[in-house]
Amino acid sequence: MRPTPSAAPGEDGVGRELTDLLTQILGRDLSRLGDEVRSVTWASLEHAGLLRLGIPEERGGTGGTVEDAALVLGRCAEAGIAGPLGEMLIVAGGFVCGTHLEIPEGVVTAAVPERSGLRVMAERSGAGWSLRGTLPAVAWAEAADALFVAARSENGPLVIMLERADYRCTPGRNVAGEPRDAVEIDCVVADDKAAVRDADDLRWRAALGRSVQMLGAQRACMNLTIAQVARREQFGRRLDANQVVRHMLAELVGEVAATEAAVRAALDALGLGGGIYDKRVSMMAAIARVQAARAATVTSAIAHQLHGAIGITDEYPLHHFTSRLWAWRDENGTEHEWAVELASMSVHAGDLWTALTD
Amino acid sequence: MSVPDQLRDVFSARLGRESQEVRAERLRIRAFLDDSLADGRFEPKSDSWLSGYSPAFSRLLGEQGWIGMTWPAEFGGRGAAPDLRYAVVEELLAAGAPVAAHWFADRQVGPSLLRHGTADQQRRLLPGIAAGRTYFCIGMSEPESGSDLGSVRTRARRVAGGWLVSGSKIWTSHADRAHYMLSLVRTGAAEDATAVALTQVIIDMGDPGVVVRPIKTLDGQAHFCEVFLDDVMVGDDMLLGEPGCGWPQVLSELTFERSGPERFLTTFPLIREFVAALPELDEGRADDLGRLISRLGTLRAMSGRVNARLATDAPPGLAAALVKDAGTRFEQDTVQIVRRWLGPDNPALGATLEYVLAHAPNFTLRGGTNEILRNIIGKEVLAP
Repeated sequence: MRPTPSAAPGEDGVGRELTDLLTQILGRDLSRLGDEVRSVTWASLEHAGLLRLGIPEERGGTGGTVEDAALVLGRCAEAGIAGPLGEMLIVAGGFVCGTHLEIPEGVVTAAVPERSGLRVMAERSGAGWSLRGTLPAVAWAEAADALFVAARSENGPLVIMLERADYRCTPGRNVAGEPRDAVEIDCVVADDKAAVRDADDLRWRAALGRSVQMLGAQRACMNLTIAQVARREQFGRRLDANQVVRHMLAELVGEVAATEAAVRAALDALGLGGGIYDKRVSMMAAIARVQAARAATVTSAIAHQLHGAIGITDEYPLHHFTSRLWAWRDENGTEHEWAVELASMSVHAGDLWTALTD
Repeated sequence: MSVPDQLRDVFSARLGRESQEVRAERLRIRAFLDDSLADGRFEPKSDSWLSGYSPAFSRLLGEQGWIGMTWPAEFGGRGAAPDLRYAVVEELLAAGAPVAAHWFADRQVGPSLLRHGTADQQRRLLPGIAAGRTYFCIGMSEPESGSDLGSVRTRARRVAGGWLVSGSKIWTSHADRAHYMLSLVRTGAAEDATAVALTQVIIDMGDPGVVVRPIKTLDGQAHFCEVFLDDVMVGDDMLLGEPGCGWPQVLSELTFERSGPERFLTTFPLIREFVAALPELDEGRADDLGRLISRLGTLRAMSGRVNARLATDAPPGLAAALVKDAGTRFEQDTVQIVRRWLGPDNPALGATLEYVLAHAPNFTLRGGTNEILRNIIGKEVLAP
């Protein structure tokens, strides 16, 4: 069964169809927590076409909008599914758009371009390209079947689709235990695997993707914490009978609501057209990215404090979400780098108020 | 729907780009404010909705149709949609324009009159408010009733033709210059529950039984007032709503006053000066500025989504409380960040910083302290 993607998930019948399908696959009670690439859950998502949403059908995707893709991404993060979901749903889609490339079968990942420049060099080699470079931490590179990278060449920037045999990996992991493998590229690829395209906009798409994922993880922290303080009793009463506990909960809920609104505003801006290069869109994406990082710190700290020792056990689900928040907030540009970029974007725009309201 | 789901529903709602009408109005008032600034009709100030008191400027805004915008034309309004008013208020606050004189009348008295007032009250009071000529203060707090508003003691005794009101109100902004006070008083018996014992009354500040004493505050100003009421006669035609209905009316009013742009734009003029004073951004300042902008953009996204629901049957009270808590803390953070980078003696800021430092403690007090808001939020979120 493939959903008909829509521009308006959550509000109309088609959007509800997508939501219901996700609930069916992901369950309601974190029962799929930690399911990885090639798990049954992953296969179900793939079979339903949900991992290629937001990518046009002629590029190998299942169509739909970035918003549809964001809905899937957020719900998977909230359910604690592991895998290069942001890379597949948001970044790879950006790589193939505007090129002749198609998103391949299997597990696909992508190296998010860095602000400082591209690490892979491409040189003409017969009818193809000779590629050389190293990438420090690519999500699930070793487990993937294909990897999208951006490269510099004397003809300008390129995007290239690599197969697993085209690169070598040294396994690495982030603080959440997610694969972040070092990738070494030294290969020749055929011309049809490369396309001329400036990939700098993908940093913003990736930032938006991580913000959506952080929002999902923050929701999960919130839900677990609300349940915990309502259940746990000490000194003869429920934890939530303490005013200080209620205040901490209010702060947690407030930060999640803030991320919710910021991420939605960024998706709204993107949905209105103009693409991620549009000033309004990149500004809102950076606003959401900094907010999501800020809230990652606040929500994970409050969630752990209110859970007590049970929250730091391996058996209890909380760490799946908090440790990912710790990793994601500084990935593909640290929280600081995004704040600085947002500030310079705003100052260059001239009047700050005009930049915010235009 | 659970409370977290309700909040998600409000804050994840899609909001399209501003309509052309709203955009045009935004640009119209922006041009008006630029001209007014150039002509010296006002000095931009932080906290201008409480401290920038200018009847002349309020009348100008009234003439331009920027007060009571959402009210029906027969009462001096324009029947505008809430988002049009929202954009206009944002522009006024961002520019630091003096809007305090008409502020409470425009923000909450007018909407309350439209909802609970009689046709006669609406005809008599609304056109003057919309013209920027009739000003209201809000008499809620009392010496013994601050956050615990339900405990107000000011009494209204039934007499022929109306009520005799006695007691005192405190922290009533601009009571010394307002024409009327919308006040919450006790009409029920001592043993009656708060929910049915209180009533909203409109008090004529010219009544001889009203004595106003301004209270000097640490900022050197005296807009807070104490109001003493000694057998002030309030005719039956000056009750807002039915006797005993004051408490639910006030609670719904609070939703409107908690989520507006004044809960996060109070210090915007200071942010603007901060940016202007430091055209060369180093990494540290840029980090702080970027965080401020992220917070500001996020609060706009939150507040705009609450605003879109205000006109519906279920105004999102809890979401509004979240905006006020987050927004007012942001305002205070702004002051500390600018202070840390520029210091009190920076010539670029003049007396601005001192002024805002002296005002900042009030940001998280007025309209209900943030701690009370957090009590409400924490409790509601856990409600089954």
